Amino acid sequence: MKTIIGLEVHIQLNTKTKLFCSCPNLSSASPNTIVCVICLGMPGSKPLVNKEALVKGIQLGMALGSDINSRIFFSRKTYFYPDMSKNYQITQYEAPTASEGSLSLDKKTIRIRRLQVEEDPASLVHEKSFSLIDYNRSGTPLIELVTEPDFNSVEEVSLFLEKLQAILDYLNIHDVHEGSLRVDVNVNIEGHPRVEIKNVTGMKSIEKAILFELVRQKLALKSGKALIQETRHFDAETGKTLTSRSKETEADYGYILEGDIPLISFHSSFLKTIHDTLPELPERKMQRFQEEFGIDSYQAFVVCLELGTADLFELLVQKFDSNDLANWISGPLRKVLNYNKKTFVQTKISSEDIFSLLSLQLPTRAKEMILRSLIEKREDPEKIAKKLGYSSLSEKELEKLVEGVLKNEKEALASYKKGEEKALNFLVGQVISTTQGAADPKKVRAIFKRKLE
Amino acid sequence: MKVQDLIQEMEDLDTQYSLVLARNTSFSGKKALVVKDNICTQGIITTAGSKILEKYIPVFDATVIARAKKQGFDVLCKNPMDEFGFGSFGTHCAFKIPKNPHDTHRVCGGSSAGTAAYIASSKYVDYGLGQSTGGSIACPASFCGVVGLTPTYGLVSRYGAIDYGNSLDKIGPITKTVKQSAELLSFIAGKDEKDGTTYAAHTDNYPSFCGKSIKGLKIGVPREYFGDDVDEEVKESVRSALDVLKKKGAILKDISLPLQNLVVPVYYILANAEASTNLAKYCGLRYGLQKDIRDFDSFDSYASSVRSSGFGLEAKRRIMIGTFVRMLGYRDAFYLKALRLREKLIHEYQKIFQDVDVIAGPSMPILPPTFAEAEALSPVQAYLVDIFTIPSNLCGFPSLSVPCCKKGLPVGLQLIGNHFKEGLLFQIGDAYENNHRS
Repeated sequence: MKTIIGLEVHIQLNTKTKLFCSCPNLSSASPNTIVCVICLGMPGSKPLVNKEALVKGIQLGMALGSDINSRIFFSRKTYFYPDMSKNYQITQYEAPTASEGSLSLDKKTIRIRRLQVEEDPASLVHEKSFSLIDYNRSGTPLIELVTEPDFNSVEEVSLFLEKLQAILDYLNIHDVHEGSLRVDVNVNIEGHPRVEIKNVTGMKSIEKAILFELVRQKLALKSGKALIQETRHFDAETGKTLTSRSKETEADYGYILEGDIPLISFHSSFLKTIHDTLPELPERKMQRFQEEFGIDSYQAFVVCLELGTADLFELLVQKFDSNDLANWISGPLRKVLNYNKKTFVQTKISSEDIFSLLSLQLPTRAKEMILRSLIEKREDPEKIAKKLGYSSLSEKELEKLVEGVLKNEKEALASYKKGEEKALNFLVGQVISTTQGAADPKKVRAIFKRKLE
Repeated sequence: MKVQDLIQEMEDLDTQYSLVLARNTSFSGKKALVVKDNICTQGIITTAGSKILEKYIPVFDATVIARAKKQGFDVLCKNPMDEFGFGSFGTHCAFKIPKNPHDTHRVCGGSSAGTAAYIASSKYVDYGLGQSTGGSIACPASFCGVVGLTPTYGLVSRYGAIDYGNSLDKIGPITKTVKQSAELLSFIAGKDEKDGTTYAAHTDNYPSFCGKSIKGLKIGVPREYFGDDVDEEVKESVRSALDVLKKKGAILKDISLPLQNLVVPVYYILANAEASTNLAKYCGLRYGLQKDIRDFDSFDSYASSVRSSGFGLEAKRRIMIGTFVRMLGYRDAFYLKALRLREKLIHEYQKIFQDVDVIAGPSMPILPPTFAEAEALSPVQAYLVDIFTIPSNLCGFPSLSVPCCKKGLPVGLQLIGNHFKEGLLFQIGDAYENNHRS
């Protein structure tokens, strides 16, 4: 049973102002404080196009190798919903910003059908018996990116989204925060009807939603039930997809031209300038890091996942062993960033901080603990080390600890002497745990070996 | 003239002809401007003639209002109109139906009905602002016997005009004389940063065209504008007006207009398609008519209820037509085809303007009907009376309607020019008017 998946990705752009008015484009503010007559859809107001958003759309289109439309216009997509200030959305229909792009994964290429710039509706806050509308988000710029149904597994979807996020980061067109990347997923088993899961937010939820849906569809087919084409939504709390109130007919948005916005033409020299000033993109950087610094493709991939860590690597690689550095960035640093759901740039930690941290004569585990503290509160890494009790232990202090362990752990010592190498690991572990990770396991092991020779 | 006289007259005109909706209670006493009620006026109720916007007070002035204020005008009052501009007679009004000052049994013409009637009947007020989507300035100007200019699309900002059909809507002056029309246009015309469809650098010194000789100007007279379905009285008045222009040195050329039978259907498809999206925002959530939301179990049922009681019959009819023509399966056959025909029409008219300076004919094919006559018309018959005024909106051309009947009910002479040729229209209109007066 072959799995077929296609995505519609909604990407919030980090422009200074909204798409059709001069309200600031902020991701957080008190409800209904960044609004004006345009984004509230007051009678008589007219949309004015934000060129920055169009340029950012073109940049992404180019980064994905798409055909760029040199003449675009906007359309009205009409549907009634309480989050819509005008009950139509200004989007691109016949003439999207870009079409026919692609993004390559390790072994295959995902085709991108179209990429359009459009406005986001307001956000709804659902309470028990009522809902509230916050128009701060109303009219903020989005890119909607539609892929062909080229995915055959969840892993491919995750990899695609990781790579896409890296590109967005390099182009500096998107700020990562809760809800800044929303995905509609189309999932079906080959030969069976397509199910759309609407508006899933966050990588974990996207993965869970697809997995749940695949299992649900396969089980239904196994038990002989027929699947229907429908729209579902993902409930993050239960991890299940549920049927949304089904529509009587297929959605009909009655697209017409947006008469308030004239046709926009981009001169070829304007497009060329955008193309020529695109930054080095993740794929290219990964290649270069492998060639220039001799790190492997996995290290390069993780180091280059965001521009902040790639820049950090390039800055510090002169001072540390490239492999050790790449390992540390793709290992502990990546782990701590993911745990905190922050990008390196968002942590505000400087490359100098990381330089001091990595210069400390402490084991990896200790450095990771210091990093965790550093993310919470920016401080001199050496001070944090002291606070946490990670003053670098002297050789003598370590020897004392080793001697203590040898005295107490007679049984393990006997096993080791009988030739059980594993017993030594246990002994080393005892020292490490009494120092709460501050001792360097390599050094401790060396002392043991010396003592036991 | 004292402010009290203005106010007294306003009350009298409202009593006699039902011409006033909201009044500006803080009228400054400057030059008075009367305004169609779909043009937003800060602090003054603006309803677009619809119950769904009853008591709606805009928080901003339309650009035309702001510009007129800078030139020493102040808004005196807002005038009744067909709901959202949906009508050719001024009878589809939610609040009051204005009466024609020339004969109170007759309609004012729509949709800028109250404004044209006000200018026609006021002793003191010479300047009004109307708005047109398919003839809503020319029609009431013609029926009420005043001057109405429908400018080139993009010359006058639409910012603050409550949208009917965004690609067709225009704001223009309704005045007693051509010269006044030219003056008011010069105050409101020009690029506006708040309206992306306005053009830079296309304005002229419009009043300077008044008084210029029209000798040698070529006026195209379309055969189709003098067909069997046009009232004899109308044809007679317009023909004698053309004779005047000829005597003044203009050259009349017999021309034929292309695709004339397509003008009305193309217009009603596009205008209603746009209108049906523009009216979607009125759902009782942020402004206008509201109900107790707790009485409803869903947004859909709430919005449906507000819209059912807020919109009048004609608005509902146009929402349905406009939604239908853009639905999947019909969009190609109606909406997209109409768009293509519109382009073709513009192209054909441009060809005519290579041979003639302006096109002249009647503004309306009929004299102002009585209320009973207007009511007896089917919707399609009513739509057909717009046949001569639609091309100006559909193709973005400027047009000027000038009164051209010396006795009896008013008739409008319509002059249509190429884009941004308002000056020529004033030149010819003024030449006719001066002759007519003397």
